[in-house]
Amino acid sequence: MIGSILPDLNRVTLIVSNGTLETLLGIPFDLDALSTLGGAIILAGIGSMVVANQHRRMFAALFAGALSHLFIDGVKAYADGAAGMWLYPVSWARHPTPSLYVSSDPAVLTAAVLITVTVVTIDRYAIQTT
Amino acid sequence: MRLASRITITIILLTTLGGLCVHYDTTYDENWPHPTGDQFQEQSPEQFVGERVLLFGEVQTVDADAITIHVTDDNDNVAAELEVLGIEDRVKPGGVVQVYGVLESKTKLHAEQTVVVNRDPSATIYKLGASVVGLLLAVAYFFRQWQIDFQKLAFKPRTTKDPEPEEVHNRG
Repeated sequence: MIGSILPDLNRVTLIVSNGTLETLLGIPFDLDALSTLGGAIILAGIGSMVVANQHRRMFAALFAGALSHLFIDGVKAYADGAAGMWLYPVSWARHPTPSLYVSSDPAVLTAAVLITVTVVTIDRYAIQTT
Repeated sequence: MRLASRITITIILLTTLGGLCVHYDTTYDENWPHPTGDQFQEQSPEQFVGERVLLFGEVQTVDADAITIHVTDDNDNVAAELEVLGIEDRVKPGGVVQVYGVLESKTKLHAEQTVVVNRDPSATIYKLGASVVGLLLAVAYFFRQWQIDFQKLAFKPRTTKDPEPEEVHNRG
């Protein structure tokens, strides 16, 4: 769950713009790199260092969460029909997007809540753990 | 893993992350197939007249057959003001749109495809509000399951069924 938040850490730019950061640092700088495959790997790596042991398990959980975020981002609407360059730094390629949604559409939140309720219900009542 | 090792690795990873942000910004404009706000600012939109471009912009005015948008650079300064024709979706001033079409002049674009990112300012507030609530729920749930171990400077699960390996070792 925390992993799925990681790619959105680029939203820090709502408080401090990339331009301000560039001026402060004196070099080109874009926090949108956090919202890419490379950013997710490194952020999950940092996250795996905040536990005393079981680092690999922590990394796997965080990276899986971050990847789920990037996959869902990958089907977002783009007017030219190609997704964002989230595969960076592996590739700058923009794969075709089915343009399924924009985040400001309340239907997205409704779908997310319904899926969450379904998963929690199955997890709690349908899966028998001994 | 020892605390010193964890701190060292974290510093290395943070440095790498900083490097990634620098490299991403340095190489983004040449890999993004469309003009960016920064390029408009540096070269003027005139350079791109005749090209089919994808632009993001904030809606300024809405008329019957056209809207005007502001395309901004990385500093949120206005890099171009464009009149956009061919918008079929409902949108209000303060909203955000993606427009894809031919740049007919340095001030006019004919949209072939549009995506309304935020219909109006309230849609933007709704989106950010929903994100903040989601973020708080996720963090609250995390702290229900985990707590901070100040001695080790690490997070640890609140309930551990199995004793930690170090404790097992101490018993022996």
